[in-house]
This record gives sequence, C-alpha cells and structure tokens, in this order.
Amino acid sequence: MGLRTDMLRPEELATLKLRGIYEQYGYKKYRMGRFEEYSLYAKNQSFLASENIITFTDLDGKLLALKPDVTLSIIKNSQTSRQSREKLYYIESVYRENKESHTYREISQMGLEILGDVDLYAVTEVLTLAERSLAQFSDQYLLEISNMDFVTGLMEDMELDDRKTQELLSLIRSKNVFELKNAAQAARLSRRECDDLGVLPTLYGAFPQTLKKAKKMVKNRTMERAIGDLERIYAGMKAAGTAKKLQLDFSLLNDIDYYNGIIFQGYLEQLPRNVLAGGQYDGMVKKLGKDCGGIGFAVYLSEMGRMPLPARKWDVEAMILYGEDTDMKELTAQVQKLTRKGLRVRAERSVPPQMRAETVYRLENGALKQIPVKEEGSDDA
Amino acid sequence: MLNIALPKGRLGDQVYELLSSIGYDCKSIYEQNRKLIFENPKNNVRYLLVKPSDVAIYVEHHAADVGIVGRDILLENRPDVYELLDLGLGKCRMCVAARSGYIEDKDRPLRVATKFVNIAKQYYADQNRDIDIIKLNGSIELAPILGLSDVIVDIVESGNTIRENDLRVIEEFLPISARFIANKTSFKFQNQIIREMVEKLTDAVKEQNI
Repeated sequence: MGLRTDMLRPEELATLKLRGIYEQYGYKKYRMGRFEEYSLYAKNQSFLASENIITFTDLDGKLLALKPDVTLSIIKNSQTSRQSREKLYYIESVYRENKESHTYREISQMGLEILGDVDLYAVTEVLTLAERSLAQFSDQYLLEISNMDFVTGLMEDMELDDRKTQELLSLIRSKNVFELKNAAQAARLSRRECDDLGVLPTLYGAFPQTLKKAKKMVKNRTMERAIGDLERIYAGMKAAGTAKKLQLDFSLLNDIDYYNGIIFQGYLEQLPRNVLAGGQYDGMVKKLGKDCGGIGFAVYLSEMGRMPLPARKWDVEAMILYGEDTDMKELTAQVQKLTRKGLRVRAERSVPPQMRAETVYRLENGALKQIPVKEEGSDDA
Repeated sequence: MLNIALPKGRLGDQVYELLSSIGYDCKSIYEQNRKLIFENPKNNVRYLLVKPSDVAIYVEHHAADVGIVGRDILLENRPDVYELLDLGLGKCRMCVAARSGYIEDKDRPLRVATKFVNIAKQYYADQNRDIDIIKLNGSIELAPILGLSDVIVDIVESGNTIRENDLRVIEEFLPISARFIANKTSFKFQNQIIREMVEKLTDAVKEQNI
C-alpha cells in the first residue's frame, strides 16, 4: 500500500510537490538556523515587512534576533560572484509582527533564490517556477508582473526629491489616481507628466494588451529596455506553457532602494492577500557588499493554510470496540489487517465523544462484527 | 455576486442612493428590519451593512469585495486595499480644536485627546511637537472642557458641536471624503465588474459636482 496523501493539508502536500519541482530545475535545499545577528536587520530595516523584531541577548553577550526574513541571511552567507550562479530553495519559519493583533506570529514560508549571474533566462525561470508553484494550490490563480524600471524610468526626468518620490510611489501602489494627480500637481510637474503618472495605476490586465498600452508611453532608454525585457520574458514563459495566467500591473512596486527590474505577486481567488511575492533585489545584494545580482520569491504557506477545505465526513474509517476480556493478540491483528487496507483505524473501549467513524465494529470471538453507527448528535445517548 | 460593504448611517444612505441610480439597486434595503445583508441577484450585488470604521476590515479580509469608507479611517488604519475613487460624499475636515481663549504652552508636551491616534501622531511628528495622546472613543469635545487634554483632534463637519461646547477650531489639516475601495484579490478576479462600477461611479460623481 502506498502513502495516503489525502490526510495531508493542501499546504503540506504542496510543499512536497514544490520541492520536487525546484529540485528538477537544479535548486539545492538550504537549511539555516533560527537566529541571526540583530545588526543585519538593524542596518536594513526598510527591506523588512516590519521594524519590530524579536531580539534576545545570547549567553556570550551577542544581540541576536529570531529571523524575520530569510533572503537577507541567504545573501549574507552567499559566496557567489557574477561569474557563477547559486540556486537555492528553503522551507523556514520567520517571526513577524501581526499589525492587526499587535503580537508576534510565526509564519511558515517556502521560497527560492538565485544569486550571482541573473540574466533574462534566470528571471524567466524564476517566474516560471512561481507560476508552477501557484498552480499546485488551485486552478484559480494569477501571477502579476511588473518591471519597476518602467516606473523609475518615467520618474527619472521629473527631478523629484526622495520624500515626494515615496509619496507618489505609495499612491501608485494603492491605485489612487485622484490623489496621485493632486500630489503630482503639488510637486509642480507638468500637465503631461501628471497625466502620465495618472495612467500608471490603470495599466493593468492581460499581458499582451497591457504591454501594448505601456509601449506607447515610452520616453527614454530605461523605459524602452524595461518593455523589451518584459516582451522577451513573456515569449519565454509562453514557450514554457506558463503564460496563461500572467497579468501585467505597473502599480506593483517595491522599495526602490532594494528592488529593481522585475517584481511579481501571486494571488489565489479564495484568499484575500497575495500568497506569493518576489522580485529582483540587486540593490540589497550590493548593500551587503556582494558584487552580483539576485532574484527570488517566497510562498506564504501560513496564508495557504486558510484555504477553505471540503468538510471531512469521518475522522476514521473504522473503529473497533473491545472489552476487558478481549485477546490483545486478536485485537492487534485486526487493527493491522484494516490499516493494511489503507483505512484509518481506532481501537477503543467505547466510542469517544466528537469522534466520527464510518464503520464501527465489535470484536467478538476473534471476528469483527459491524454494529450500527449512531446518528450525529446522539453521542451522549 | 459582488459584495459591497456599506457604512451604516447617513453616508451609507447617500452612497446607496448613488449606487442605485447607476443600476445597482436593491429595493429590499428599504424594508424596516434588522437584517444586515441585502441582495439583488438581478444586479448581481449584495450589500452588507457594517459599522463605518469596520468597512475597510471587511474589504481587506475579503469578506466584502468593495466598500465605501471615509478617508479618515483609511489614513488611521492604513489597510492593504486599492483606493479607486473619491466619491466626494460625506465631506468634512480633520481639525485641531481647543477651548476658546486657549493659548498653547510650547514649553511642555501637548496633551491631545482623539479617536484618531495615528493621524494625530503623524500630524504632530511632522511639526516635531512632543505630545501625550489620550485615546477616547466618543464625546471627544468633553476632554478640553474638563481639562483632560489641551486640544482635540477630530472630524468637523458643520462645526456645530464644537461651537456649542465653547470650543473653536485652531487648525484644519486634512480634507476628508468617502472613498471607494476594493480588495486586492477581488480587483484581480472580478476586474471587469469592479472596473465597470468605478467607471459608472466616476461619471455619476462628475455629474453631481456640476
């Protein structure tokens, strides 16, 4: 009898499948410790989702933190250069603040990174794997892509200070066209520039059509190259058969100090937030003193755990009731026989409350005799 | 079926009128009862009546696909949603108010009573002013009268409550109005329906302003 996988939760099953896929593409599993020196995070706070980190002093006096993020540790420990390429995947817990309940939470993540020589092929491969990862969870999914260089290229000639840039980016991110135009006007941008910015949040939808619209906005080399890259990536993903659920969304933006180029997010129809996020983070790699590129993504397994599941009818398929004088040898043999058939079996003296068994047997004279199952709600009878 | 979170109260009534005028009506909402969900399968809409400050929570968590919420609540709680349109309804201002005749002593931290802790903190942080926040949930105007705080930060619509309690507005710093928001997942998977709604609303809002 093979392994029964129907007892696994969807995220557990997907973890196994994803490992298989990532290994097929030559990624190596990477395992790390739970702790990291706090200074790594203190220096790179805006790379993290939240400033709050669980810290403690180790016995030797070092200030450590429970990892709020995996990527930083991977970059820090990497020995790669531009000439080589390191391909890794991981399944780890991270500890982050839950803003709503204002408490810390342990979050389970699975992710994948390429460090070193990140060319267009590497980007396409990572996107393909992101798409295939989403497909493991549901048929109703979307992978949204943007090229941040397109947006930074558009803002290149606007001569905005840091604060204003951040304000405009945040408004683009929330697709707030009205407020975005107001803020652009307040920054004394020309009418044309205000209109261009106002179009960004609406550049959303199916890949080819949206790309066509974006192409018309190209103003300089940076933007031209951004569009060219997207075109080639799309062609690559089409060849891999992973382009069907791709969407372009130019309002998708990350912190421009750390991220550049391609960024992406994955959504499942049943879940309120994105369940996958990733992108190129050359800026972060440079900040940590390495001369190479980086790209990767994380799948939020904890978030996946909220997927609605079909209600289970039974807790076990078979329950064997036995008495004081039952022969243990016979009982064990019967349990063994049923489990060999692939059934879930419980041997009990009486039916435990809140326990639903498909069939209930009584062991009498070495043989199993089926007895009628009580209707639900009559447990206490 | 699109789930729309409507804030209970006057703003919700105004928004419903607006939505109903552009083809999203649901007559059963006028029935006098305590129901909180009303749907019209013909128009493919379901209205959920929720507390105004909870609208963004319903939308962020995907219990509603879209919703209508005041800008004050968006700025205070910063939910992770798309803010698609300014409906221009429920206009008011976020203000600082104090007792008439109040003179600020800049040599000590300012005591600020408010429902909007984050907005108040941000406002004073921008001015580098040290403050003590006193979080209240209602009848904010009482605080300066009883000496609980020096000033209050609150929404002012007509200014009647402020005047009747012998307070005056010192500064208006944020214009507020109702915003049309959407859950990020819904925006992607029900894009056609939501886009159409936003377009119709945009036209209706323009018409109203003329």
